[in-house]
Amino acid sequence: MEKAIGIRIASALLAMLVAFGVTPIEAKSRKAVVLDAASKVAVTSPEVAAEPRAKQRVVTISLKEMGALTPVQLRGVSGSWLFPFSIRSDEVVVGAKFKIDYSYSPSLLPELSHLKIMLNDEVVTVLPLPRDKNIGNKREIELDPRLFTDYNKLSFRLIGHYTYKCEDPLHSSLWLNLSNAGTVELTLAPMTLENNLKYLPAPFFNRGDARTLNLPFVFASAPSLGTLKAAGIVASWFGSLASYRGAKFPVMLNALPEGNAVLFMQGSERIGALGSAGGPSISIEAHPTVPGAKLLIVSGKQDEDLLRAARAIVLNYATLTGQRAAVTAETEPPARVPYDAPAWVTTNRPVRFGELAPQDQMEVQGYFPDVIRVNFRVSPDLFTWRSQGVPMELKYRYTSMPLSKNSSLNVNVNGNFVQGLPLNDPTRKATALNRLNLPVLDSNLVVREDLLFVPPYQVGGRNQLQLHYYFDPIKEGECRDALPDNMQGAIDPESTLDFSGFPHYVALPNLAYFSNIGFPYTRMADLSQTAVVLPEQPNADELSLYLAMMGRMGEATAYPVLRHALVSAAEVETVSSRDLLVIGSAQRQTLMAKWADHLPMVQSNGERRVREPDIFRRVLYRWAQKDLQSSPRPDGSVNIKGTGGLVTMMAFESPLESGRSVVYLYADRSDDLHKISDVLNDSERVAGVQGDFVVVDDKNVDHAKIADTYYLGSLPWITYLRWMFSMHPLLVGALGLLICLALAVVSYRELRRFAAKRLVTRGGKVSS
Amino acid sequence: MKLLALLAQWRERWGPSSRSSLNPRYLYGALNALGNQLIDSPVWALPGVVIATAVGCVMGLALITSIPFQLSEQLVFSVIFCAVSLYIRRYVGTLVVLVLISMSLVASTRYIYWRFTATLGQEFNSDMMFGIGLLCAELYAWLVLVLGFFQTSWPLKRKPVLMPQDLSLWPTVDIFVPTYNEPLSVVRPTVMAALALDWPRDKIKVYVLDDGRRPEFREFSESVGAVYLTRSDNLHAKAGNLNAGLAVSNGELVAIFDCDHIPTRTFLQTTVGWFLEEPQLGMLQTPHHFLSPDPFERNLGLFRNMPNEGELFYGLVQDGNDLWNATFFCGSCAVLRRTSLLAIGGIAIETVTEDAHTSLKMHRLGYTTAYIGIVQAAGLATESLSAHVGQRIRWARGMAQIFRVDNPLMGKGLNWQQRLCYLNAMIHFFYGFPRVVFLTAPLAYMFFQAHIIQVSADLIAAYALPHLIQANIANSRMQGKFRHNLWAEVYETALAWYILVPTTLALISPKFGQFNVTKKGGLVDREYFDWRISLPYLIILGLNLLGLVIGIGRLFWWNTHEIGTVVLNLVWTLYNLMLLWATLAVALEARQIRSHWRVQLAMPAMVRLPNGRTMVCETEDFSEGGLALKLPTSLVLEKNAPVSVSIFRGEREFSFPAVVAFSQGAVLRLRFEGMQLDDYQALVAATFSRGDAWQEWLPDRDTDHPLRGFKEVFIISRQGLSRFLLSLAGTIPWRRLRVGTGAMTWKRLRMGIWKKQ
Repeated sequence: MEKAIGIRIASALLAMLVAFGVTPIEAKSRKAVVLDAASKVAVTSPEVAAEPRAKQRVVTISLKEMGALTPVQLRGVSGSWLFPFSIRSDEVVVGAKFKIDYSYSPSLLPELSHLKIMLNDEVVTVLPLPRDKNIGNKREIELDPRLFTDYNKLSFRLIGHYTYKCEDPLHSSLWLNLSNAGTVELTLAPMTLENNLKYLPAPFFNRGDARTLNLPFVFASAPSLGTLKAAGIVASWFGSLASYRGAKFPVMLNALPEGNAVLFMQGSERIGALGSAGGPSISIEAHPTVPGAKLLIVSGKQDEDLLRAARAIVLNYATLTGQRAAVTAETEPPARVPYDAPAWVTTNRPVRFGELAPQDQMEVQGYFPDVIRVNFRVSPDLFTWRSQGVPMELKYRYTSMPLSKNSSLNVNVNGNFVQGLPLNDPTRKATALNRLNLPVLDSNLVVREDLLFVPPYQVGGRNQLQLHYYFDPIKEGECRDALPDNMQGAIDPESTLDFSGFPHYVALPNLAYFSNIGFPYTRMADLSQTAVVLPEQPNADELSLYLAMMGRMGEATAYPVLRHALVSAAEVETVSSRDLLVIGSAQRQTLMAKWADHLPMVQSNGERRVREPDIFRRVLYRWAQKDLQSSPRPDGSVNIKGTGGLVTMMAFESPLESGRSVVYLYADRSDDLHKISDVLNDSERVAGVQGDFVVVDDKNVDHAKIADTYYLGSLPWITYLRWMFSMHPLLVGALGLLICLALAVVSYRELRRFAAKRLVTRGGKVSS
Repeated sequence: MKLLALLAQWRERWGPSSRSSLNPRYLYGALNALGNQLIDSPVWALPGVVIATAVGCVMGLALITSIPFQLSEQLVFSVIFCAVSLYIRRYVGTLVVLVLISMSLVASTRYIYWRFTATLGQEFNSDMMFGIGLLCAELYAWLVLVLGFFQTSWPLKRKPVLMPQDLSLWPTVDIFVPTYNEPLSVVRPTVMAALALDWPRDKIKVYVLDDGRRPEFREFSESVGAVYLTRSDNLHAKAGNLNAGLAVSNGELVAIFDCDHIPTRTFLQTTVGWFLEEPQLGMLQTPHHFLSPDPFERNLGLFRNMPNEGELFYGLVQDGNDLWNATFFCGSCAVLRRTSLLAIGGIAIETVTEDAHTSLKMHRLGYTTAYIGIVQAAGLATESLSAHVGQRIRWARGMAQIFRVDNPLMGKGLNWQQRLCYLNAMIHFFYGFPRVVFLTAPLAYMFFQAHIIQVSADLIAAYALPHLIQANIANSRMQGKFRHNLWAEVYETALAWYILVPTTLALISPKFGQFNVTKKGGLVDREYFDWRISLPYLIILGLNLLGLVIGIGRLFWWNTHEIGTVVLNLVWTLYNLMLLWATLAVALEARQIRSHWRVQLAMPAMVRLPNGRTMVCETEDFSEGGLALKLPTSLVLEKNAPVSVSIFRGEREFSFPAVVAFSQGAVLRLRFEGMQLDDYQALVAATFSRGDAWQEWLPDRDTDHPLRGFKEVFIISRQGLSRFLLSLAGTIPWRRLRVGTGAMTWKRLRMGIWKKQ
């Protein structure tokens, strides 16, 4: 069998990596995909072009890479653990080995106890657990390649018993330790798809691949801005597909990479032997030199043709078929309104959990259930000053059991503890509110409802709500413990999270918002109020950064950047009413000299002038609302002459229009520009991007606050007054005194009038 | 040292603020001129300006109230307010008072708003229960403060209207002197003084309304020319008694004197004028003035040095009420119009405080009331703490009853100002619960570590202190002459526990409770500690002491992570301890030796010595039993030597037979001897009944400034501590319990409360 597949395989391509189920897409697919390996092979076989130079590759994935950050301990009579991993859909497994290293309790009875290993629910092997050999067991197990699918789960179950008599199912002697150094070794063979647009986004992007997407974009020698804009739109689409993986788009001018690529050609431009087909069109071709590689060609006579073709891809890729498609007519989608990005939680109304995560992800079972994770993104400019928190109406259900006091549903946001809801609080009655939503309401199911307030400083940008059921059944005593196997917990999809009460008002510049969720550009999901400013004659590095930024914007909103503007530095005045994203390296970007007064750092004539940062170097945690208090900008600066390249991100208010933002991405050497997109794609280092002046290094990210603060959005006037006054006690004191005086004078006059009325006589003499 | 020198310079420059009324800088200073300009600015005459300013002020106040500050901002804000109010309070004038009131309103309302919005935890637990209790108490205190400002912002200071020349226009008056169990010696001067009132003889009739049915009263009344009335039952106590009198009399006006309130002869001429001016006037009240010290004054030795509890009420509150036509009847020293009284069905009988309810009914029917703040009668104060407590319980219960059966907030006939004034008069008596809460609140932390205010201690201080400081500055400026700061706390603390139960019961069921007659004119024959009355306070005191000890433990060992909170609670506990010691000092009953109270009054007199010489002199004090003279020269007389003494009232001379009781230097004390009824009548006419008898009663007493009251209470509290410890060492309490029942005892108190009539 192995051989038979091997023959049908063409050339080797890329490696693979896996991530533990931290993302919704993966977690979802883990359950959704149940495909028999054999039938998959049978289905795909006609599409595979027989190529002679099939190149296989061997990949080793450790359990640590699959998510077991520490060695795994299986406990109890039936402890189990599950490792998920995925395989690119354009590769097949031709051979697989599994190496494990384990130790177990010497108290286990060898007659009854064993370790069961399963791949996709099929038992692969059963390991006996003899006495006296409990430490340092190593095994190497062959796995049948036919058992593999795109999404796989490798599971271990300890069947452990320490006595023949009645036992405590959670006895501390029931354990088996699995080293996380164990590995799965896969031999993978690539397979080639036919040239058909119906597979889009494959083979350019493959969900099974957990690595950063690296997709070269190819242009003719001097692409027009329209061409580049089309490329930006396509890049944003790929960025949103790549999601947590991150995306890089290396740019090649008039040359083909050794692999998949996207080509943009206009009019008579040619790249190698390939040329434009006239009119807006999309086509897919085999790579002329690299076997198995594909090229996606977006072409047209003029800028508008290319943009149409790009829009057709990003909006309607599912309906494209055949090797080539031409766009004949198009109605553009309506412009987006602020804050309506599909990936963001709406701020118009309470949002239901059902909109944030699929229901099956919000249900857990077992005695030690998993954490329920609900990811959501919210605009970071919500003004939460003095608010109690974000109201969360949590409706949850769980199996009713005699639970001990310790049982609870713990609510965390972004890893910060919010509240623990006791599950068997005798003072509280279950509500019947959700009765209608439940098809069958089991009599032993408890439905509860709680109103929580998520501390506002913990929420903003990308968030994860973590709900953890902790069941602690009451022990009945020896021999009477039947470990409950039916423990279930669920979060009702009708639970709501309400961001609607908060006005949009925020202090800028703040690169943390930019790096986290592309704010303020992504305020409009289609970037209709954004202009990217490129140098004249942008080079490949600058274009690559531009595409990477568009990819990030698409990822942040889950919507392509259809309406962004792209201009050269000379034309910047034409887009003065937009938020600007300026890209430029060395002296190539003329805006640096022009806006030298506004920039925290200016490089000119080999000399670097750096403005003095805010003395306090305030830690600009948006979440702590500290950034709302601006301090005057210090005026000092220092000029430095030296060698070495600096890579920075700078944010400041647009010199062209107040209230508009500029983010300036700069590197002394243009081949360092990629460090910016690297940092933004690095989930650990990106946290260092804060303030308005960020210096990026290979390893470190440094930040400072230098620029003047400005505000975006508006507040209801009463809120604005209260907020503004709350920072100016002297003003409030003066105003207070004034009001007191006015009140006193008015009441003096009124009281005097009233008193005179009371003392009116009808002619009698009042004694003195 | 430099600091002290600076302070001295400051004092020299500005002087102590209490004398500010003597300093032209504060009388006619630039600030005063500016205030006058503002008040009389022509701008106010423009249409809509007043309304617009008022609306703007209210909105501005709402805004400022709701601005949340962090610690440092709140401190800055408070310091500004504090500094300004401390500065301007020296300036004379009502405008300054009103500004101080406004500032206090801002600070206190900010505090309450902050307490509601920022200091309650989100979780409902025992901490929150305690917290809500405290918050309710604070809300109450705030409400009383605000209503108090409203009530007293402009005392009307009504002057008497002169009577017309034509005597035929003068109305007929009935004088009612109700009595139940008081000895004749108490009632006698009152009746005599009533008979001596300056009024046409044919237009005045004095009625002794005796519910005790005592023959000697009948005999006395008939001998002096008063009408003696009695009835077969004692239904509705004093109210019923008065109504019975009302049924058989027919004067146009009715003046009512408690049997121990001796009127001056000018009483009617001072009060009746307004009845002629204002046909709708139903009742005119004058102050109650006491010759003898109340138990607080007596036991603390404060008589005449300090304003007592009643002075705030009669000096300021009633006068302030008068502005809003909301003065209420206090049961005595008042004149009522018969027609209005009959219109409401006579004196109200539904509650045990018939007086306030009567005036409430009058107001509902559209009659007006008035107040003249000139002392026109004098009486005796309650003799012991337990009697005092009993009297206050009656008032509190009665007010709570009115609150239930005839709530001033509902019903027809009242305008909103009257409603607010009555409301304040009534809820004032609900201080029992808040006071007990304040006395025990820090213990919640000391004992259970309950964080009843869910913010840091420094923030609590930053919000609460300005609230307290501003309120005290405003109040001491308004009430300085009538009440010293912090004394109200002592009074309220002493009564809180006893008032708590009856007011609560009366709120639940207004039928509870009976009328108990306030006992007066008795003696306290020896110093004793009233254990029964102070038992609840001893318990609270013990708890606070325990809390103090635990608090010190928390400060140094157990709760060192939240020292701020511990210190706050410790300071609070110490404050409570101070109040409690002062309260205990009140409970230590001082000896009361004289059966007749000496009244200090300087009157022109003349003494005829045994050798026939006469000597013009001045009286120093007098009582029913005798008088003291200040002679121009030293003189030594034998004891029991018979003399004759004359007292002059204007041109009239009253002379009395007497013997020497004591003689040393220029001081001569005489005891009346062989006085006949006529002589007593003359004595009353010459002394109690003098028109100017009580005018100079309060020569110039210290006006308050915010820290003085604190100092006084502190000293008293220290005395209380030492006297209490001495008493504890020198007595066996349970024996004292029996001996100490000369006054109304706890048992009787309890009967009064629990026994359903």
